[in-house]
Amino acid sequence: MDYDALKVGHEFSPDSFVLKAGAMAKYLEAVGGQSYVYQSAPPTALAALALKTLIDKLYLPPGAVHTSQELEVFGPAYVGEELVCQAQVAQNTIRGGRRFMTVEFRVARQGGTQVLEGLTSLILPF
Amino acid sequence: MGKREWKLGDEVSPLLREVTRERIKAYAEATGDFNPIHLDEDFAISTPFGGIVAHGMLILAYISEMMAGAFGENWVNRGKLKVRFRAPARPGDVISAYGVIKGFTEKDDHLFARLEVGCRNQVGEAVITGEAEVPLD
Repeated sequence: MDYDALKVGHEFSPDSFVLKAGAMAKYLEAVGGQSYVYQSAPPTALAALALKTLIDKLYLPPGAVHTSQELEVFGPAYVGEELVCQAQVAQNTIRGGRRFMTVEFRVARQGGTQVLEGLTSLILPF
Repeated sequence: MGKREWKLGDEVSPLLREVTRERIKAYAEATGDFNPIHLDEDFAISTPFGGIVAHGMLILAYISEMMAGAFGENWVNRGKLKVRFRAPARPGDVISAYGVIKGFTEKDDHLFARLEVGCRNQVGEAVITGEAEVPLD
């Protein structure tokens, strides 16, 4: 992956993903979560599954580190729903021999109803 | 769940979780994040972390679970978070997620609580620090 080519504003092609019951079960196993009793997917589960689509596109090198995270939920998302994640590069700089990258992402239903927005910052090793 | 009247300085009931290799593996399977820094001891030892560390988003999920416990669907369906990952969490660490009411904001005729939130490990080191916002009505 040529990270230098990812200029600020670069938009990744949208990706869809389905909220699968198996993934939610594994998430709750990992987190010891109860919030799924509220029927809709927990915000951090939604964000993590959206980020998965980005991880696949960015070909993050082993050792990449997550430094900060913002997210805002606009509405519930349920198991079985197909959602779309769109993302763009907000920052891509090199300092002290490391690459600092920030990506904005938005998750929406297929019909366009917004579900979640987020901002993820990473440090990538050289 | 009855509605509670929140006041400035009120603390959300903290959430305690032990970080285990099994939970890290389950999180990797749930999210598809198989970065070897979370799963491969030999690789992780060669990094500045010196060993396996948990996904930052796994530890952040503890804050989300704490907020869901306190604010229910208002958090799950309309919550907002902004955090920095300060230190790694490792297998064997016991993480405590906390939240404190720092203020209230009215937006579009809805009342929102603003909180300082974070996670500390068993020796009190900051693992995550940040802010959250949740509607109260």
